[in-house]
Amino acid sequence: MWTWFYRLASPPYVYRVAARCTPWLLAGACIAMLYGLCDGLAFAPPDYQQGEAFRIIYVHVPAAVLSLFAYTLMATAGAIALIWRIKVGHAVAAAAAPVGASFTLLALITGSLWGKPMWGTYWAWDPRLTSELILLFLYFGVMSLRVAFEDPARGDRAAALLAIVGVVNVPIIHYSVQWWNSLHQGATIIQFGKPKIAGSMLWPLLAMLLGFMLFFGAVLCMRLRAEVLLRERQASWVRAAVQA
Amino acid sequence: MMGPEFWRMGGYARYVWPCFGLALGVLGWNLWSARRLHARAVLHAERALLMARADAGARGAELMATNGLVGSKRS
Amino acid sequence: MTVGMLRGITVVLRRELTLSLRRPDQILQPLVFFLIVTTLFPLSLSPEPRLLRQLAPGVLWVAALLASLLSLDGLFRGDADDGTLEQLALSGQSLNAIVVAKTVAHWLVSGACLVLVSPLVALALGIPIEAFGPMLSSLAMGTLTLSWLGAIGAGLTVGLKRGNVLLSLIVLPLSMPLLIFGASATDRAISGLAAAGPLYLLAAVCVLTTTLAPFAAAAALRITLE
Repeated sequence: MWTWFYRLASPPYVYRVAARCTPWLLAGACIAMLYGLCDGLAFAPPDYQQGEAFRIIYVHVPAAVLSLFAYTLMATAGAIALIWRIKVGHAVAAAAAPVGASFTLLALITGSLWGKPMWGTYWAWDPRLTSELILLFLYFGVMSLRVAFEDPARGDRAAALLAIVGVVNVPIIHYSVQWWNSLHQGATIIQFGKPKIAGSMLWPLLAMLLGFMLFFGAVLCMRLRAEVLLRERQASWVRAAVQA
Repeated sequence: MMGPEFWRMGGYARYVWPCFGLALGVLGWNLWSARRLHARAVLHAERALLMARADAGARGAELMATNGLVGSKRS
Repeated sequence: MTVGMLRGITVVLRRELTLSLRRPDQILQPLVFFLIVTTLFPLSLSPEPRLLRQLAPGVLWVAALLASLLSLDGLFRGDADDGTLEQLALSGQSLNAIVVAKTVAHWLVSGACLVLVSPLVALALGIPIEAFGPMLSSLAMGTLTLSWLGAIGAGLTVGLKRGNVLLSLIVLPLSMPLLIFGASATDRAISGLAAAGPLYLLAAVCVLTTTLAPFAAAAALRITLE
């Protein structure tokens, strides 16, 4: 039963499987995002309070969710690599980092552009915004630490440790709107009972979320193949793979 | 449907459209950057292959030369 | 001959303190830096007492943070340079215990001294004496937490040539929560409000870090020393 898990630890297997997954993930992402954008931009009714500006939600929320997801993935992959010495884990962590950082930046900037008409300011030092900014710094720290070492294996391990130490920030970001009085809106999707958001607004959002997730998967596969290649270029399977 | 009212976004156009444009930019950068990284990785791998082959080739030639089989050293 | 863990910690602690006290300039320099940086803010912003009192908690804490960062690089580097660190790692003593000893010794000569000097700075910034209690306790807990976070960062960067800037890059984002709570505690104390809330949060962060950081720092050292 665990054979699929063991196979995932094999670099050539991962290299092949990632190549096959990428086009499907990209296609799925395109379809989901196309639907999400059309429905969200054109057909969803304007918000009672926020008017048309609420449509920024369709890129802001997926970006923010992915920023947290990518960091957690990076920390988990690093932990797996450190504990069980599975080098593919380091490749996954290295692949996830820049993508996650770009989504964090997107979440911060779209949030800022949404904040100006809604709160009257481009930035506020409120817990969620501040901890998301800390997340961006953590991403940069992990990426810088990885390349600072001459021995790439040592850099991978150090970066994995730092990612694990920083993962404590992720629940802080998520729960900051519950724990503190925050300008930022509370949870609207993941909660029990009647959802706080109207159905016609929710479906495009879920579609965009799915689209972003599939896109992340696709880009992760692409970067993962490159990272695996960089770490394994001395191995014999690389010869066949590269000359193909 | 995509008339002037749509593009105005109820007056919020200068906030909404840059957001979507930036999102598109970030997605595009991710694709481009991933492809670039892969191309560089393939290049590194090919270079490593060439160097390994050159090493093996040089060692082979030296071996053959000292054994008197072929060689510029013993003609 | 096996040496118990507590005795091992005591031995390393005493060694660290003896070595530090032989170089009093290494202890005084961060303190002087702390004093100078706090002076920069009134000079560049405004010496008006009312404004200064509002800025005081933030200025105090940022200066303490930066001064602590300066001394953190030396936590492991001296021993790494002359090979003592490898010897300590190979000694059979638990690396966690060694890290605890070194970090506590570091805090005693940097953070604790900072706390002792802070009343001077507080007076210069116009912080009322009633606020000193929360201020001192928040600084004590905050600098200790910072020493622990710094131990993790120092462990990760000790082998690097220009590790100093990267160390700051790693430690500063992790220390933002304690900056928020510490400055908030001091601020509330200055305004006459009860500072218990932020102080408890700061204490929680301090306890969490004290419990988990030694393991992370020891793991970091194992990675860099291999």
